[in-house]
Amino acid sequence: MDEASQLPQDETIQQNRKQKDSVFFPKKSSYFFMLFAFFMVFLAYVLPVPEGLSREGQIMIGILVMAAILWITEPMPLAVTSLLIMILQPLLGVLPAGDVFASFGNKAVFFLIGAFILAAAIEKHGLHRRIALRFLRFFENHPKFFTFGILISCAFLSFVMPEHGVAALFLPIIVSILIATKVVPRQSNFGKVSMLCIAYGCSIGSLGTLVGGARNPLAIGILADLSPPINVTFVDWCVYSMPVVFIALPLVWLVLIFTFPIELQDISDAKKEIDRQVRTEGKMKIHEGLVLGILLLTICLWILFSSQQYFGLAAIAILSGVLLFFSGCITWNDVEQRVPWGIILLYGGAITLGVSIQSTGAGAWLANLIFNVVGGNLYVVILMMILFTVLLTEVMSNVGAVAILLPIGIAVAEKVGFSPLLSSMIIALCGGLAFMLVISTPGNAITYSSGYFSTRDLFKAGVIANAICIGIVFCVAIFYWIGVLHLEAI
Amino acid sequence: MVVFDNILIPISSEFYSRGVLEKGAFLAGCFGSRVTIVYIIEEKTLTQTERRSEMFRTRFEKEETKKGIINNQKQTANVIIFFDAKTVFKEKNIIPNFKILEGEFSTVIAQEVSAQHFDVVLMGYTKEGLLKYRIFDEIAIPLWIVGSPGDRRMLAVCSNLTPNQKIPEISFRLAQCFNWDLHLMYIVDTGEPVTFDESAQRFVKKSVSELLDAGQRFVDAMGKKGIAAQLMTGGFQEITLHTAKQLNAGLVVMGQEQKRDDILGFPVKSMSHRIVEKSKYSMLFLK
Repeated sequence: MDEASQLPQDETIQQNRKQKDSVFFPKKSSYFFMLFAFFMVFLAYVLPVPEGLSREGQIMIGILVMAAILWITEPMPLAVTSLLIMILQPLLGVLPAGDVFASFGNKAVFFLIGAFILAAAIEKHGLHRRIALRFLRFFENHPKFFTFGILISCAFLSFVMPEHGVAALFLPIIVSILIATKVVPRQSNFGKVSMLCIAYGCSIGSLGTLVGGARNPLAIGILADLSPPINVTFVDWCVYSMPVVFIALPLVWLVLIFTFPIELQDISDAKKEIDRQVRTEGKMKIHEGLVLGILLLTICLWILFSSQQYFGLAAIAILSGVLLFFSGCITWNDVEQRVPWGIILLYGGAITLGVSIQSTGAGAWLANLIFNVVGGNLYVVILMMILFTVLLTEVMSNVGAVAILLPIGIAVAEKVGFSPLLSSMIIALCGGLAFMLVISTPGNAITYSSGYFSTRDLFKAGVIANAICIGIVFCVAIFYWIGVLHLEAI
Repeated sequence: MVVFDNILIPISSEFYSRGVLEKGAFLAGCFGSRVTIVYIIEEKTLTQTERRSEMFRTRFEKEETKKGIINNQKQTANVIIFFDAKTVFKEKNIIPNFKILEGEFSTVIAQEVSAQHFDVVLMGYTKEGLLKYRIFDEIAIPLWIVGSPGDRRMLAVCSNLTPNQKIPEISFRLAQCFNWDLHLMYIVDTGEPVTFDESAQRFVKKSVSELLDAGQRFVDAMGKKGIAAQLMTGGFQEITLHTAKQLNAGLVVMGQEQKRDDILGFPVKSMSHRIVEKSKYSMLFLK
């Protein structure tokens, strides 16, 4: 008997996977999509330039289409597409390399690095788990109330750490609770609603602050690079976005409750399981306390001093990262393990794409085209932006969707005569409303892996939740952002 | 009179149906069979999660999440599904074997079937998942898809598209065993006027009248054995689904119909797969 056949099944599978990983050949369809995407750039390079558009602008439109194809079909990693966006610009003579790479040094990128280091420390010391269990204890009196608790807890935690991390945190907690209550996967509506509450709670919560959703810093990064720049502070963002979050949370919960009426009556087993998990956590350790302190300090600094006249968002985020190192809460090894550096590249590409689309006049030309089709009615334009973003974010990475639509949205805003801030808020927030498909967002995929709901359940609830959230964003845009805050005039 | 001596019940982490366990207990009770229940942690749901998280989570975090998901799945299998199974099988005084494996549904089943001598695979089916169910074409033993319970009637379907060697005999024995009514029919598929050659290895083209004659000979031969059979003409899939609905069949028994399924030369789902998708009834595919 050879060695491989003596290995347990799990190890054999792992071995096979390693072998597969070491030799990677893209699928035939991947080559097709890559060629198709590059052909779009080639066409933009060789075709005659239409009136009103510069040659550089036409090439940028080609690069935008290429990025859209590659980010939707994903024949290569998202970050590699971003690198392509960056290098094609100097190669095709759109912008000098120095100008392109300068956008990479955007403050939003450093804000993101700091925020990821903070999240890494929270995860390392299990602070997020303690907070999650504390939250859940408030809601353990009734099954329906408990599912609302999951939604709220996920949303609140997504205010201070990336949404995908929150989904990954809540999955084992909630699965153990469902197992304790003897809930059968796929058959129990309590199981379905609980799992969907994780997915939707994280998505909705990620709209609330600049930390939860990766696309939010992207929007402020592009706005800060406009001329004249528009600076959005931590508090500004929360003031704009929180109404959407707090209206969407109860409504989406009602959608889930009505779509899947909960059959469970007694939640005492769940209560016992939460108590057991809280006991397992034990008392707060010194480093966990320090991380909590630094987190609270960072939030306070973001609230009080993130405007341009003080330190700005990025400096505070990096400061908190440095404090975590000084206090011994985190090591460089932890940062290497828990900070996804690929997303930084993704951001760099996305920001340079947005900036170059504006600076070459491609955005204005596209906006003109859209203006001729849709017309200049403010309400119609807002509704179209919301619909396009929601549809696109369902089928591709939400950062990719926002990166493609933001430059167009900003140009459309200028053409129609309202502030790019309004269109950026619409696109950035709607980019997080990916409720319908497993592939839409990591949160959906993580919770789907539990086996408690089907793709059909997700779609059924997601369609209604999306429709409601589209209505919410539209109403908030009209009555709050325009009616109260006058964002259209900033 | 044992038909199925060793039953394999695979349960995907993506789809669990208690009905499969109940049917398994019923069959094992009838035949005194051994039962193995395999819980398969679907590789696809894990890779999907990894793929979606590619840019947003580190390798370390993805591994952590994956381990967590696998642990959750193992807990779910042990505490919920195997517990359910023990309860269901206890009523028949049968103690099944339990296993938890990680991999792709069809591949794991194929590996299990090749490693041990199973007589039938008993499984549930859902369209609402990421599973592709290559299993319809990849195993050489009977495959029983458990659907909604119908009446105590069995529909056995023979046709010009299968060798029809096992269907009448096994259906007859199953119907006797369960004490169900047997409805045997022979369908001449006019859309595919072919039949097997004498060695039952490959198709030969025939005219419709030749196929009807062959069908009539089959019906007569069954009559001599005391089994009433009905001759039908038309599309295999349509007639099977229509008759199953009319009978509200508790089980539909059919072979692996070798109807050519392609669009512009590209292969599409097998006919067995399409019939299962469109039918709510239990199906037994004899290979």
